Amino acid sequence: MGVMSSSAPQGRPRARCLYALVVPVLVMQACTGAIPGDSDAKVTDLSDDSPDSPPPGSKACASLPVTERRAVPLRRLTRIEYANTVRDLLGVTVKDMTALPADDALGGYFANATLTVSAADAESYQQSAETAAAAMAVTKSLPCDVVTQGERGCAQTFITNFGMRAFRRKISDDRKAALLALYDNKRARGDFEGAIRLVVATILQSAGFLYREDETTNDGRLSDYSLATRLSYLLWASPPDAELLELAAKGQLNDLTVMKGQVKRLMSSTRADAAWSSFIGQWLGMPKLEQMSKDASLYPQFTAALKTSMQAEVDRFAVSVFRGQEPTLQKLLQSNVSFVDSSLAKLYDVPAPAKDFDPVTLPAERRFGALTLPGWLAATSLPDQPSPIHRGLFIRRRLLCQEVPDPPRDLMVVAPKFDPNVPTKQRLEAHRSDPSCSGCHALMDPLGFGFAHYDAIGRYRTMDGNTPVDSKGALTGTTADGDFDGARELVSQLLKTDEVASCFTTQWLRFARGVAETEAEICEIEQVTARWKADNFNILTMVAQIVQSPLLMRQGSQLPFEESSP
Amino acid sequence: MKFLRSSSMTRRRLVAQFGAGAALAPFVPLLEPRSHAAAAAPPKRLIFLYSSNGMTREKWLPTMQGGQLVMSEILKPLERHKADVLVIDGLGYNVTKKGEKDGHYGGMNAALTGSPPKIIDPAEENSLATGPSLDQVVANAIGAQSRFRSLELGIQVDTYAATVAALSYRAALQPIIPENDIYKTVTRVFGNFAPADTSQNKLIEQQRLDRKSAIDFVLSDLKSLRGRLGAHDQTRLDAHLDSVRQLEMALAPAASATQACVPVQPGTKLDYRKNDNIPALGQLSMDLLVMAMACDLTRVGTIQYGRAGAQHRFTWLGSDFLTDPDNGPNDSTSGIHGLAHNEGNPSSRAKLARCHTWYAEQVALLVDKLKAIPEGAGTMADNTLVVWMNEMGTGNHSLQNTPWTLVGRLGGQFKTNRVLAFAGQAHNRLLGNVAQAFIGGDGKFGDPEFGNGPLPGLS
Repeated sequence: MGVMSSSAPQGRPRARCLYALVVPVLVMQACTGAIPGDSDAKVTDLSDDSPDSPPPGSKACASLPVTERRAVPLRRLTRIEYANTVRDLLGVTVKDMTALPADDALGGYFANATLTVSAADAESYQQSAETAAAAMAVTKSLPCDVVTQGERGCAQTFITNFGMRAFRRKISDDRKAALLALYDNKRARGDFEGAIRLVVATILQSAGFLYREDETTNDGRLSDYSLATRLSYLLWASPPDAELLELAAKGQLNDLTVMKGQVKRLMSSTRADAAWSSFIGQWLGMPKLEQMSKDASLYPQFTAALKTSMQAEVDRFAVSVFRGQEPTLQKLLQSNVSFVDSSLAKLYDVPAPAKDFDPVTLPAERRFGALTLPGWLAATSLPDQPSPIHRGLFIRRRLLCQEVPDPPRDLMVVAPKFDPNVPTKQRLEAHRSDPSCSGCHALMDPLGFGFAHYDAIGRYRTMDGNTPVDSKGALTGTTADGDFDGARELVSQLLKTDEVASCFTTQWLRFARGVAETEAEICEIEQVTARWKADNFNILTMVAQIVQSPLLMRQGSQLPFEESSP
Repeated sequence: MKFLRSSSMTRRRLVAQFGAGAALAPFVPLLEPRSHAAAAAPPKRLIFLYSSNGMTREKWLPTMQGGQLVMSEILKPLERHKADVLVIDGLGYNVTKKGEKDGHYGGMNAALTGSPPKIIDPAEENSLATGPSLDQVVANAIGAQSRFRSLELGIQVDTYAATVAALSYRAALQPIIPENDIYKTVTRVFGNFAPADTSQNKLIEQQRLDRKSAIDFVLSDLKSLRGRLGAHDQTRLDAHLDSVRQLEMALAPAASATQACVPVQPGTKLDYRKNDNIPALGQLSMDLLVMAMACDLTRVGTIQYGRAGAQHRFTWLGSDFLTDPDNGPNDSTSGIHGLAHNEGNPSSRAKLARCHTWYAEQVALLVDKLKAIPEGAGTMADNTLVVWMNEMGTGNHSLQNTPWTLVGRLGGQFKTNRVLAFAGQAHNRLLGNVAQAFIGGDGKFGDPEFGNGPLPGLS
């Protein structure tokens, strides 16, 4: 690899990789004081532990003004949220989710917090609403009897009742009046059922339905209805159910004890599985896999069906950890039990289970959790070969929450010629020897080399071309640096760092809010991290702790685009 | 409300031109031709055709001989349209130097916006453009009364990140993701045409009234939510409001849509996600856009072959594109991104030239389609500017020497059959020329530091 020209960067000064190596991005000791390490911290009963009191061994975070908290942007329902909402409201299944506007993941996770509704999107919403309204069973959906209450009275009750569920708050008088007028207009032109359907189709296109509006008090406290909505979409990817709406109506959700009870209830429901696996899938970059293709001559088995199987495995694996005896970060990154169908069994080179996606115990030396799932390994590969660069980059960004800057401006990268007799590491030699590459690639490549045993669709291999696999690498820039040979050792090493747990908290928070955290919020993130670390890295504790913390229960005013305009 | 403009062609003529040779099902006439066509002057239209991963410049750059273009290897397919071709060489996406991203991302952000990219998520390094794109600015001016202000058609654009997927921007930080499902777009554009069978008319009228009352509520609900939000979110709702207003325009009674244009029939449905279907999907996209313009349902459109850094494999060009063990590890060895990164390798470079030549053929086919539709004294091509462009200069992430190929004289506004070089100049200036050709003004476009007026000598 040669560097043909490299000119000094112009414009905005940018972080250089060399600095990133020396100064890890997340340095939080200043804020948390001592973090409980491997002392004999006993498992805390977190459901009784107020998030406002400091976790064992750490100091309290300063109370943050709204200006120091992130303004969670107005979020539009994602495809899955839309489909689940239509299901809960109408009992109608959205058959083709791709007919809905595409989700945006500009904050790293699907949040629909940035993309605006284009003209084509508005039409999609119109059509989806009309389709759903046409498919609903009107009589079954009515909370009243047309015969005793009369059509118009029943329509009024329906609007009040359905409006509450669809808008996720008490329907305003304005909305009620406008919808009743719409009903009257349509009833005059057609039958009762048709008029109810039009009310429904209208609501499903409206802002109150499509957006999750956060009502807040001046000090950033969310209204009970907003809290109910945030909670249910976060933990269930679904609208608040009757119980949540009832508590909100009574104004009880801002009571921390009530809130904790609800978090517990929601998390123990199987409805939480879909939201959790959606997080893990997005964390592992599965949306990328969905749109990926591989070189058909090298990987003919990489079909749409196999991609679906890989995705299904990730989902099931995620849920099995979440629902398992030990819902811990260690299990997530080290469990060798997975869920395979016949095509994945072939890929793993194990006998197919009696039933598709039954649990299978995989060879422990080859398979150990999320980072050996074929879905992730394929998503971080190129169409014809695995990419140590992409795999290393993933670990920096999504496991350590460290930034890796872009290649220098105007760097002319000339890739080396492929030669099956030259090992990958040697081929990427220039990444080490050339100073304009090595700053950044030293952050990525040595981590990625750990996964050299896995090809571009995640199969285990012992040869890299015509040379034996070399999976030696080194973990650097963390609180637990060290050399390793193979991904198994790398993962153990990663679990010794402080960064991985706090990064996992950060990732889930970004998923939860659809936006990056503020500097000031890092203290609270570290508090949450300390709590679930003290609970043997229990993921359920992490989720519960964030949800019950001001990070989720408050709304800030600091906008996501803080940097001055370029 | 009148939203259809003149067109001089008749259904019979169109079928004659499109019917026989079309790979797709012939157009089926659903509307009666308008008898009093061809009164007003035809509208101007603008089409951007995007292809990715930079250009092999020396194989693209044509020369001049005797006051005429001598086509390059890559531009050869445009030979038949030579008289309408204007090649602009040497422009750079200089505005990215002021921004926070370069490479594929920065180039994509800047290409049609002429604005600096802004990182919106430090953790994930996504960036968006900080201004509206040229197609949208032109569409707002010339397409405001159209049924579709603009159409953004994607051919296998990976949509997971607007950073690389969006060429068009409604406004700063408001990317428009192109629609990959061409069949959805065909239905969207032509699905609401009144069927010849008038027994459906009552139903259609009822639907129109239903939609009208739904939209009234939706608009007022959006406005009321907008009033409760901060400025940042208000801007987003403004876009939504604008989009719903466009839906409202579509409510105009079908009767006034009577027009001598023929809805596209997409024929057998292909998998719009499958790599090998790219050529057919591209053709269908062109048929759709050209017909939508012939019907004056829209005046501005983009056709996007992939995203910034697309990895499409040109399997239809030969078995040597199926896989390529000769190439390096930087990316897909057989995909265009991988080839572009290996452009130092002569065999890759030769293949890349074949990819770009194929794109040039697509541009030529698009112009064929425009020329097949009579308009005024000539054809639709006389009133349409096609701009073929790219998010980069070369495959190695250089944002200098970006390749711009314009086809169309636009009533003499562009002097064609030429290649002009503007080494090192900001591409904003060319965006300014195009803006000026459609909406007048001073020809300054995008960031004022870079958009200091149109390039000289284009007309």
